[in-house]
This record gives sequence, C-alpha cells and structure tokens, in this order.
Amino acid sequence: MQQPPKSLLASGVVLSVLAAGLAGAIIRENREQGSSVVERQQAQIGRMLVSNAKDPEIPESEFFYELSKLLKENYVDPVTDDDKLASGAARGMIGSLSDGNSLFMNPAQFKAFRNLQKGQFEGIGIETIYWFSETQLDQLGQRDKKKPDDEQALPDPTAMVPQLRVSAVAPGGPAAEAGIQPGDRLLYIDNKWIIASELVAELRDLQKKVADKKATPDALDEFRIKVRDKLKTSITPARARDVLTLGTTSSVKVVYERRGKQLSATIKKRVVRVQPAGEPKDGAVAFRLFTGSSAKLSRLLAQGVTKLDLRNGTRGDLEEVRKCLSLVGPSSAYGSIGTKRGSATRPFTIATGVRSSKQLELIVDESTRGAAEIFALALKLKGLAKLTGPKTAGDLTIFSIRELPDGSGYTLSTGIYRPLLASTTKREGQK
Amino acid sequence: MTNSGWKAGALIGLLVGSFGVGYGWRDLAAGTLGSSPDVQRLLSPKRKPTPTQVFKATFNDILTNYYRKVDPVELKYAGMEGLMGSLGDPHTMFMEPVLADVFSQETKGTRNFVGVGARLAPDPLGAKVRTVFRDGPAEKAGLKNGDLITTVEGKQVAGKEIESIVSMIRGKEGTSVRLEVMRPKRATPVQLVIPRGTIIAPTAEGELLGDTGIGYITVSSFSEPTTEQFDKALNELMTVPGGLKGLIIDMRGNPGGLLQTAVEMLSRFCEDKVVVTMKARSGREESPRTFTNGSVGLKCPIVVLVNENSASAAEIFAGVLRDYKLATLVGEHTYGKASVQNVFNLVGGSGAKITVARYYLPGGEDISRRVDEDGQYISGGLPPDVKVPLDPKAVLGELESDNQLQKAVSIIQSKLAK
Repeated sequence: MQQPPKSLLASGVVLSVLAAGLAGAIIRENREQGSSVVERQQAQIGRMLVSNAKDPEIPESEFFYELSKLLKENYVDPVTDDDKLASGAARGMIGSLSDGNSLFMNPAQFKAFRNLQKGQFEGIGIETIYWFSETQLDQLGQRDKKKPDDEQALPDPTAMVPQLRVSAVAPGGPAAEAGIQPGDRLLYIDNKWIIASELVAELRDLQKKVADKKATPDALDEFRIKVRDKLKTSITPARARDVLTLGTTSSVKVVYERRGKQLSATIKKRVVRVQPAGEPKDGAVAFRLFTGSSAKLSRLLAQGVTKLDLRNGTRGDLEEVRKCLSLVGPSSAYGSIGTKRGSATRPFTIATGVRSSKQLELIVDESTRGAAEIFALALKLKGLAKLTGPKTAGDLTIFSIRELPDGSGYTLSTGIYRPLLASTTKREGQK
Repeated sequence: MTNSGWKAGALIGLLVGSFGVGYGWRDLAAGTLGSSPDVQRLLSPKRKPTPTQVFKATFNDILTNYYRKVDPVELKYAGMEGLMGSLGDPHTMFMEPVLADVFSQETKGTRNFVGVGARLAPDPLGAKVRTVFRDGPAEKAGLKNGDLITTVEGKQVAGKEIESIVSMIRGKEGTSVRLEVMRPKRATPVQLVIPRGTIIAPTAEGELLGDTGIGYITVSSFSEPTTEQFDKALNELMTVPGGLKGLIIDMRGNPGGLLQTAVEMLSRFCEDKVVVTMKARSGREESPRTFTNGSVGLKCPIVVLVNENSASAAEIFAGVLRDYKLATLVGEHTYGKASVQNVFNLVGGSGAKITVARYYLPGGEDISRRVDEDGQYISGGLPPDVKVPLDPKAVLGELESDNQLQKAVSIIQSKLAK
C-alpha cells in the first residue's frame, strides 16, 4: 500500500487529537445530562471564579483561614481537627437557611441517609420529615420579602420549630410491626417531649381567653408550670430524629399522634433492607424510587406490569426520576423546575426515552412524595399515567447532595419541580 | 519496538491525553479537580481538598445554587459561627458586628446605662423581673419583682435571648419604653410606660430576714464597685443588735465578672488561701490567693445560694467557700463557666471570643460546661451540697415563696440548734 503524504498524516494526527478532545468533552456533557443540573452549574461557578475578579469586600476564604489560625494559636486546647472546623462552618451555613430540606448531616447521619436512598433503613425503620404548618410557611414566605436587617421581618424563632412527622415506614420493619403509619406525628421519645412551637401559640390563646374571661388566671400559672416541666425534659426534633433513625440495637419508647389520638409503642431497632419493588397485590406492585430502582422497573414493564403502588415511599433518589421516566415515555419536557430567586423556570427534560410509551396506573396518596411524586406527576402531565387516590404530598423539592472529606455531608434545595410545561421559557424562533 | 511502533504509541498517548483534557477541562478551569469522581479516578489517587477549599466550595454552592437568594455576608457569618461552634465550647463564639459591639459595651461600663432600673432573668415566655432597683424609673412606674415581661414596644419577646430583650428595653435618655407585663394571679396583662434614665446598678444589697436574725446579701455581679457594696452590707448585718445568727449569700443569676472582686470578697472569709489555679494554653499557671489579712471573723454558718445562671466568678466564690468548708451550697448546679475569654477583633467589625485559659478550684475540679451539638447541657458546673429545685411560683428573694431561700434558712437554723 502506498504511504499517504506526510502533510496529510500530520493533519490527520492533529484532527484526531482534536476530535479526541472534543469527544471527551461531549461524552462528559452527555453523562452529565442525566444527572442533576447542579453539577453543570458547579462547573459554571468554577469558570466564574477563574474569570471574575474577587470582590475585595467579601474575602470569605481568607476569613476562614484567619479565624482557624486564630483558634489554633489561642484556644485553650490544641485545635488539630481541621476537617471538623470546615464541617462546622458548613453546618452553620446550611443551618442558617432554616430549610427542612437543606440539612447538614454528621458522618453517621449522612451514611444512614445514603443507605436510605438505597432502601436500607436503620433505627426503628422510618423516614421522618420536618413539617411546617400553613402559618409557619406563611411566616417563612414573609421572610423572603423583607430586608435582612429588618428585625420585625424575622419570624419569632420559637414559633418556627417544625413538627417531626413520619413520612415513610419500612414494610416489615420494627415501626411497621408496632403499627406506626406515614403521617403520624412524633411527640415524645423516651418520655422526653419533642420541642414544638405550639406552646407559644397556646400561651397566646390562653392569654386571650383569660382576657375575655373565658379562663381563670390560675390557668396561666398552671400553664407556666407545664411549660417549665416540659422544657426540663425535652429534646429537639433533630435529636429525636437521630434517636429514631440511627442505630441498630437499642430500644426506644415512642409516643405519637394520629388524627388527634395519642398512641405509644416501645420499639427495638434493627436494619431493614427494602427492595424497590414488592410482591404484586391486588394487581399492583409497590414501587419505590430507591437507587437502582429503574433496573427493576425495566423488568416489571417487560413482564407487562402496568399498575404501580407509589404510596408509603421515602423521598427516594432523585436521580432515578429521569431514569424511570425514560423507560416509560418519549424524550421530552416533563414539567419545569423553578426557584425563588427570580430566575426563569427551566424545563425538566428527559433526553432519551422509549418510542412506544407505556400507559400506567399509579396508586398514590399523601404519603407519595419526593422522587415518586415527581415521577407520578410528570407522567400524568404527559398523559402517560392515571393517578388513583388522594392528593400527593406536595414534596417536590429538588436537592443536591454533597459529601465533605470527613464523611459528613449536606443536602441543598436547588429548585422545585412544577408539573407545568414552561411555555414562557421558549426562546424566539424555537417552536 | 519499531519506529512506527513508537509513533503509534505516541499518537495513542496524545489521543488519550486529549480525550482526558476534553473530558476534564471544565474541572481544570474551575480549579476543583476533586469535584468529579470520574476525573479523580482518571488523574490521581484521592486528593483531599483543604478545609479552606471545603469551606469555599460549600459557600459558593449555597450562594449560587440555593433556590432562594442568600445574603453572602450573612452566610459568611453563619459559617464562622459554625466554625467556632464546632469546638463545643459555648463561650468560644463568633460575634457578628452588632453583637461584638454590644459585648464590648457590656464589658467596658455596665455600671451606668440608660434603662429602666431592673434586673431581668431569662424565662421561656419572655423576661422575668428578678430585682427592681430602689428609686429607679421601673419601681416608680410600678414594675414588681416576679413580673414577667411579655412584650416590649408591642413586640412579643418570648423565645428571644435575654441580652436581646435587655437591649430592646434600654435606649436613649429622655425616651420611654412600653412594656406588657404578666403578673401572677392577674387576669389581664399590665401595661407600663416607663421613662428611661441613667441607672447605676447596685451589685450587692443586704437585708435581715424577718426575725430570724439571719442576714441575706444578694450579689448580682462581680463588678468594680461590688466589693465596697458587699463590705457595706456585711458590716451593717454584723452590727445588728443580738448578733448575726447566719449569713445567706445569694449568687443565683450572677453571671460573674472580675476575678479580682471575687478575690477581695473571699478575703473577708479566709486569709492567704489559693482561690483558683489558671492554666493557659502556653502551660503557664497562675494561682491568685486571698489577702493575708482582712477577714471579718464571721463565726456563724454561711449558705451560698446558686443556680444554673451562677457563672464564672460567682462559681469561683461559691466553690472556694465550699472547698475550704466555710459554706454550704444550696440550690441547683451552676453554669460551668470556669474559663477566661479574650475577644479578638476581626475585619469588618466582627469579633471572635475565644477561651484562652481555664480555672480550677482549690479541690482541682474542672467544672467546665459541656454541651452537645444542639447547645443542650450535658455536664458541668458546681453541684450544690443540698439540691433544691426552684418552685415554679417562687419569687427569688421573697421568703414566703422562695423555697431555695427557705431551705437555706432551715439549714442554718438546724446548724445553730446543734
């Protein structure tokens, strides 16, 4: 065979090298298409950091370094665990968001959280959420509108403590055996009262009643005593959550409330591994969007299953939403993601899908939340599923997950899924 | 290998390298090679980011990606609070500029301020009036011991920090403050409008308890004039006709103050004794002692009342008398602040309050308070010799209702009976 001219070879080499580079970038882009939008944004921040000049007023990295150095030089005990300082800072920042969906977790909590996404429960076998009442949500909403240094704008911190509620119960687990159900509100853990905001509201109600002569002043004194006693043996919702969801050996006494009735149980902790799909029951298969559930869904669909029970699901793994949708419907927009930053909503799209869509029936109720809820609403929006049952939870927050070097980690709310097609985000010329 | 083999190898190497660069160029640009697990595997074994990088990445993550707008300065302050909070020491804390300013004012001259003339204590439902200063504006307006302040200028104060409530009540000379107050056994809240004035807070006040012959001195802080006020009160009590049968020193709610004042006051009870040993980070030790003379020669039984709000110099005072068997401690465990802090000023007006040394009582005990991640008490403080939980209806200092005071009296009386 004749040797091609050297110049052609040379340009061939150059082109292949460029092509390889481009291929790398494209493959990376595609891999990230399926994952959370956040990772792309992080790269964007990276570019911002490199190209923009730093604002001299906010030297946050020097601040951290300066403060750590100050502690190391002056604190009465040696300060050697730098990772703990960084985690502490992260904890403080995430905590300042006062958002039940953006949470900092220490290594034990983070590990349990990651396991739960895969379907592995520990503790008494429940998932819990921080639940805010309508009034509290209103107050939180108010906060977004006022300026940060307007003290009147800040909601009364004692009125802003959320309730601790059961969002999901591991089937066959200790809590399930004890009769606990999704939606139950937790009141006492080992006889310690879980701090709640109602006391403040109760006081104000009582004050009004006394002023209207509907209650005696003694009632106020009794109330004060009750408050003091309750606070003496109290526990924060965060601590209660730890006691209930971490650990594999001890027992815990739980007092909980369902529709105004108080119930109690003593429950022994253990590990429970739940599969994404259960056995068929009344023609439906219980399906949970744990990590890897899409593989199971693929098998179920191949077997001809069309009815899925999405009740009593944990918040699941958001990554699975896209994967599962792409097994059921075509590549398309399945809703949009909005924020409260005033930026436009962006469409929630599935890049690859199936040509022949399936028609599913999904059983839902108020215990359908997170990944399962988004999956259900997205399919309903596209006419690919019929939803049977009461309204779903309304728990549609999209969040990213970050792990820190010392094993701790946090979730960060980055948007809210809306089962609406954002027609306003279409650019000119794109019909 | 042949020449063409080398060339092929080089080409493959170039292709792979180029692919890698294309794949990871965004991370290279970001300078955060650690962010993508794929890139990490491709390029190097796990490269651990520094704490500063971790902080910066988290800070930027929140600022850029959180679904609500976040103020970067507030976020930074929250980070710094968390950083210092990670040590688990409630006195090592970050103070944003407003707090740093208030703290500095407090330590410089707490004696004179413009307020209403009352000492407040924390209460879950607002602020409890612990003492109403004699002849002050609050007393004239009708504020009473035991009153519970629930609103200030129309704003509810339940759940607020006591310092915050106090700063709401203080203000400019010539102005007034509107308070809503709940009083035991009263149906409706009391509305008070109190004109603010310059207040010189008495820090030590004494009285004789009924006809018990027992003296009762309340010490509310260890400030500069406290020794003089204490001496005056003690002297008056020691010269009552019939002699002083016993002495109760009330340190409840006393947040501490100057060590020197505590040393001076202790010198009235014991001479040339070690008060505390201070150990700083450098390893240097210091042991201040009471004076070699100056004891008042008190012979009667002494009880010191303490509770969880007795801190620092107050704990030292109580602990030293206890360790030298000069007094009995009655009440509830103390706060557990046996440490010294320095305040460092930072860029932008913030401050860092850092524990730089610890105190140890003569007995060697470390009474430092330990709290968990939520700030809840785990251990620490001086345990009382006689534990008496406070009756919820008690008004401190009022013998009829104050069960801790009643116990102190009965302890002294049983000692006398022996």
